[in-house]
Amino acid sequence: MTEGDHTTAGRSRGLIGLARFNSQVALAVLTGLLVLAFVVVLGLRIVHPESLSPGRAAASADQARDEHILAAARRAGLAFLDVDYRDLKPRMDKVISLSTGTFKKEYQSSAVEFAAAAKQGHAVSHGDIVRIGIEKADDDAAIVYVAADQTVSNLAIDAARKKDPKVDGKRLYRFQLNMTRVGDRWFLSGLKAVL
Amino acid sequence: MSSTVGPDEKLCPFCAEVIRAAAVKCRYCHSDLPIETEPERTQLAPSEPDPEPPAESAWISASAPLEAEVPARLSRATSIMLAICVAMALGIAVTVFSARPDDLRTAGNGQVTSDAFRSAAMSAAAANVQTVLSYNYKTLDADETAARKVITDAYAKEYRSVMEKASPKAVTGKLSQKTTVEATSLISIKQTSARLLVFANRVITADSSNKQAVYQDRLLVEMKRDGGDWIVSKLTPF
Repeated sequence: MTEGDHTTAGRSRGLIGLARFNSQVALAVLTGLLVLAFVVVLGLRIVHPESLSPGRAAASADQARDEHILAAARRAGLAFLDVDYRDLKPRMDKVISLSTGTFKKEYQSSAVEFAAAAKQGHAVSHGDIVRIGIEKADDDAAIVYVAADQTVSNLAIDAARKKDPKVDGKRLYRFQLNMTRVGDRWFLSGLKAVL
Repeated sequence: MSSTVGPDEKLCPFCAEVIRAAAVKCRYCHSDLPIETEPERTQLAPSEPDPEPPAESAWISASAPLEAEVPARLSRATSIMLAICVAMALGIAVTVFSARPDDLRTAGNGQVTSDAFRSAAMSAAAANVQTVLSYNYKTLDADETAARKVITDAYAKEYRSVMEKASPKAVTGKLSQKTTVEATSLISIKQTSARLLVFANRVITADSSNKQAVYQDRLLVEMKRDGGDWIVSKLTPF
């Protein structure tokens, strides 16, 4: 065999080795990419699981919607229970700004009468939403139940307290609130006591 | 004799004349020529490695380790990398699979948004509250047995202590308590637990009197899911 033959054979062997080396590099790159993908997927699973599934994203969207409904109902409920005859208008304006539909019309129509009664009786009250839950909700409407406490003071209660010190002016309410979505916000559209 | 042998020629082994390479009989001496069973190697095939490469070839020297010792080492590395690839692929599959939405439509924070699931929990809460908070002095044992079926073991102790005080009074006063749930709503609900706001009316009547006592209760009802059924784990009036 000539030296040229040896050189040709060696070159062939070198090419085979180079091909194997390239395969190793490709496999190493693939392994690295898979490890990276696993870390990313695991991170998403922990931090943002809904990103891995449209269904879960829809469930999270429903949950976010419910939280908006509850927040709006809580604001409206507190505004409704907040009365001070000395500074009534901004409080009533707030209730109107948080409401819509039937409730808004009824509240506006009775506003003059209510304001007069509050001033005459020196009514002051503060509310507290103790518990709040959703009975049902869709993208446009919801029914919310609220357990609210209200502390009331007025001339009638003051007079009653003089006779009986146990009179505390505390009211425990059970409300049903109807909420309606207008644009991207939720408003109070109905309120009634659960008897 | 010609000193030049062409590519398609060879020398006759008997008369040394130049004849065709494919000839089987010499045209000069008419000798029968032996048939060559193995063609003469004139060039090394590219695919055939040299079993003993000469050390003087720099190219061969450089590539020789790849042929001689690297394969074993790389095969181990290959095995490890393949194992990692398989493990990572499985890990990705399991992670994605575990994040699949189930029929309950579970949000990222664990809250279930399936309407059917939520309705079932609310219906169970209403029925359970009515069972637990209703009794008749004539059927106290049966009422307690019925209530026991819809509450957890832990809450049963609290329920029992309440009934131990209430039962003698009920018998003595011939009292009955009937509870009706007026409204139920969900505060939170996960796959195995739920908290509900329940508005219930309790009416207590005595056989000896036409009078009734009516209580408008506000209840925080906590429930656990035992198998497929929701049962009360705590009931707190407020």
